[in-house]
Amino acid sequence: MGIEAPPYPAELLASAIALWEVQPQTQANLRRAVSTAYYAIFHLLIDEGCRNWARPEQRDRLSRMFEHRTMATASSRRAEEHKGAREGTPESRLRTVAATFRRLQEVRHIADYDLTPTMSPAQVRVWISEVERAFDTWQLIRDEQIAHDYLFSLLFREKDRT
Amino acid sequence: MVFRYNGSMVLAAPYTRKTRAAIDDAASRVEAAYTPDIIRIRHRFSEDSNGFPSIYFQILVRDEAGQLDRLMTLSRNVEDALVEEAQTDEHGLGVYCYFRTVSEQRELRDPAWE
Repeated sequence: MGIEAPPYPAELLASAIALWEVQPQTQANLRRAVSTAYYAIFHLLIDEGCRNWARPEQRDRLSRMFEHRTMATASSRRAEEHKGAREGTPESRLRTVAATFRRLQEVRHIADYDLTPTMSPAQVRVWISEVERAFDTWQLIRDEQIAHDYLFSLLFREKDRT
Repeated sequence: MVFRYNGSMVLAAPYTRKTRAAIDDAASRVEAAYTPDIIRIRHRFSEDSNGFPSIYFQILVRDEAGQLDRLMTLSRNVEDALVEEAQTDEHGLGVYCYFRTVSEQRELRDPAWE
């Protein structure tokens, strides 16, 4: 399909799948799978954002400036903004990626910090598959202006619209 | 009561009795629309990990609906339907949907899903 995903995020995604496949499917493995899937898309977006920074020697430092909450807010905004977008358009594809990131952040928080709810194998596999789909979808729009604007918003908090 | 949702100001009180009743009705309609795949839908209100008012839907499905491709399609369609029917955007509420099959619940025996 063209350029592949950066290696580390792709490895994380593969790890998430491998964790899910371990038998028996314990709560520990399922929770680690969810968390790893989240970090796969987290690092994909950070990698792509840093790619736009002209100085390669600064990209590692830049990558550490991304914050989960800012990324969540920006992603929720984009998902909401493009809710009615026609399927197959860049806007619709961006919505898929942004909504997936937002959803995985929330379930990762539960997987890592809230041991009350149980994780079901089928649901965890759906979440991982959504990340796989987000990776594929991102490849289709990664050079679009709308994608670059999204990456920018993941790092720099936008002013409130009032 | 004012909330900040998705960075925008939303003048709302998402957990009012009226909102809850509307969401109860919406969940019932979606449950009926997706029978027999959906066995039942339960929900609760809470703040998500970023402090946004949200609804957490627990959707129990029959085993036949649990195959990956089918569950992926079902989960997307059901979530879209719940957002639309419950008008969660208008109420300023985030939505999170959780699915599991009857067999999984039988094995997990999670009281929150009974």
